[in-house]
Amino acid sequence: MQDQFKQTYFEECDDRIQEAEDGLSQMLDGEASSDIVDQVFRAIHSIKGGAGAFAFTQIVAFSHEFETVLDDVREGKLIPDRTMCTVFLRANDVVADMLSREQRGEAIPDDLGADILVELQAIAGRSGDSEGAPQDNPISSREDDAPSMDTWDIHFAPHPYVLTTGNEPLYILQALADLGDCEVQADLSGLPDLADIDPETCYTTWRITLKTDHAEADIREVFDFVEDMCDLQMTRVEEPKEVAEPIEIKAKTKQEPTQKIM
Amino acid sequence: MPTVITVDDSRTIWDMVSYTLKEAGYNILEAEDGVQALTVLEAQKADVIITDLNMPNMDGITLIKELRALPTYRATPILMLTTEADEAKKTAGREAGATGWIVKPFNPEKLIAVIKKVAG
Repeated sequence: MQDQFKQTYFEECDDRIQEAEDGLSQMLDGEASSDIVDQVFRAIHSIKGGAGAFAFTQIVAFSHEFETVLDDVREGKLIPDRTMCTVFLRANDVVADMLSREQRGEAIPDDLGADILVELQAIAGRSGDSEGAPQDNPISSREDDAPSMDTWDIHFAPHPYVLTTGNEPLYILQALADLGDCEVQADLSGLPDLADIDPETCYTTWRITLKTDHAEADIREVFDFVEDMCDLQMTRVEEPKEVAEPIEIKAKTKQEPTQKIM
Repeated sequence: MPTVITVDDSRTIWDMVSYTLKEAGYNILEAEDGVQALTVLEAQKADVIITDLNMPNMDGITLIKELRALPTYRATPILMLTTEADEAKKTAGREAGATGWIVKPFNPEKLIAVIKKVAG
């Protein structure tokens, strides 16, 4: 299946390279309208995106530099002249050359396009530090924590409006459960009377005990979409403990004050 | 299973996302840009929207704003396809109403994990 995706990618890149060349030729003739600049930018951006998916790291690195300069043109920070457009056309040729080599299974020489890269960086007024360039390994593993079985005590209190953002705490808790053994207690003390409940407001908070061999970063990643719309406390505990810690409940309904939901 | 729409002008990304999610059992809708996405989404309800940001005709940020203005999609999970380096665009997407993001490049497991996080 990967080969089929690659074939689609190379076919698409043929079109993108041509689109970029057409646009750059028009820019060379002084027709740098926003539509044309956008067309060129999107073409290179698209090539870079696909290259990342297949770990074509040299194409990613070069097209990133190219795209960055084009973005400056797009935002009006750079006014393209004939010299600049000539560099862009040569950069497009480098990308095309790299793609052809990848398609043929040939190694890309390390210095391929190095001179153009320097010119692109000079245009952008930067040295060759590749700031912000994607990392070489696009599918990297996290190595900040060695695998070990830990128990975490987590208090998750989403802000009331969290449901209106498309986030659903239940699914977040399910994603957390995918990381290990998970016990969850819901604190319903914030629930108003039934008649006063707004279905788009989140009134519940949760206390979770998670036993997992995943790193802390993996656990925090589960909450990344809601990190600025919740109170989150995570504590690593020495020994696995029962979720028996009392939670003060001030339920106004006849429901059980806490519900084990997982 | 939830219905997911992929909005991207890159056939490569489009194919990879759609294939991965179909294999995982999700129902798939597809659109090449924001304008086409709005047409598709008027005819058929999606439970999750995945959108690229840089697209012709209507970009991803505009699409997110348009969708959030529609009662049907006011609180539907919207995920933007972005890269680690696109912090500014990530912020712009969140301000427009995006629920979260999928970082490119992604592997199938990661993609499904993100979808499950917003749609079960």
